Amino acid sequence: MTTTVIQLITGAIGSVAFGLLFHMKTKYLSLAAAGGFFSWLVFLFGKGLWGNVFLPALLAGFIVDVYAEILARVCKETSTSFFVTSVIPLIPGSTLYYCMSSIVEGNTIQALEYGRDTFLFAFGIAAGMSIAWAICYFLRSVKGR
Amino acid sequence: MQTAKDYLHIFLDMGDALLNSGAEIFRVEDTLNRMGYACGATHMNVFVITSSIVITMEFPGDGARTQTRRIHEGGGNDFTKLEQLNDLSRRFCSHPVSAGELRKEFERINAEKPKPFWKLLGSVLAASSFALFYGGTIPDAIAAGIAGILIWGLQKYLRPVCMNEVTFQFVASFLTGCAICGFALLCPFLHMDKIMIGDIMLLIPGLMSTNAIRDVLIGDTLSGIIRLIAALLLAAALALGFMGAIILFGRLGL
Repeated sequence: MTTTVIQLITGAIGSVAFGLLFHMKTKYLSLAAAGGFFSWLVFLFGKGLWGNVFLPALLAGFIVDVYAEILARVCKETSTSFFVTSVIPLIPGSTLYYCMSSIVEGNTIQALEYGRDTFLFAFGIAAGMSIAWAICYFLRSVKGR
Repeated sequence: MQTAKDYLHIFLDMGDALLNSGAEIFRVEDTLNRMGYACGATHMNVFVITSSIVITMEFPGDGARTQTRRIHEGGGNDFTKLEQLNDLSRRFCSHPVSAGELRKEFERINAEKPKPFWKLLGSVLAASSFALFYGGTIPDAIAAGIAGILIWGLQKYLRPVCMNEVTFQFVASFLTGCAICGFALLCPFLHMDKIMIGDIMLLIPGLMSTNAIRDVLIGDTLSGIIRLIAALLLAAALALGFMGAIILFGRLGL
């Protein structure tokens, strides 16, 4: 439980930190923090529900993109800046590291497992956001007609 | 009467700046198309990939003109600039101005650079918080923050003199890995893996690969593949750099 709380808080701080790195406007940094918190919460929820990596990452990518699109409408800004900062806690840094250390230890099977997880994370997030993006595009063009 | 000749150059500059502040391929194409039609072109053809922009404009009474631009810089992220450029293009579409005025506004936006202090703060904060995020302790977070300062310094001073992005990635990862192994050697209570993960988050091309897969999924297959290969190379260079440091220190008896 405490690990979850720590992860949620540090995930939010990490999102803000990347907001600073990417020169986000200062007034939106709190929204980035909320996005980072939210994305990890959704991921943990999905993980509790399905238990592997791909589907939770897909769900989190989807929800975060919807969040970013809504904020983009409200604040009249591009959705990219909100999406990129919110999705930061999902970036598979740890699986890449463990893949690498397994290779150093000579444990090829474990390395393959971690490498696959790394790829599935990236693919899941991208697929989730593409689905959300396609739906938003569809809604926009229906409305515009 | 303004013609394609006046507009093409500023449009290419804008496309270049958009790509380098983190805009997606489809956004650049869409923005340039709209701006072209707004200033009176009868036909616009815009083709953008990560390394090149091609624009063909046709004005009534004046034949079609094409210009290309090779994009060299790797895509950074600068959301304030992206926002301002987006706003400029939106204003231009509703009230087209002359190419000279557009250029003046563009130069004003382009001259603004983010403050290095914010980048430093961002690097330290990101490295420390992700060391904690993946289960490190407070001393781990502090060590990751110090390595974050090192990465910031390397990005500021070493990147401009490196041959390309992959070389820089390898050198930066190796040096950072050595520094972290050194910390762990001096203070045995530190967890080397957690510190390294925190600093990997700063260097990992995770956003790049996500963007690449998304580009493929929404139809910009070519750009997506270019970006995916670049991201894989960068990830491999990163892994090699950190692995090299671990193996080196392993041989020294850590």
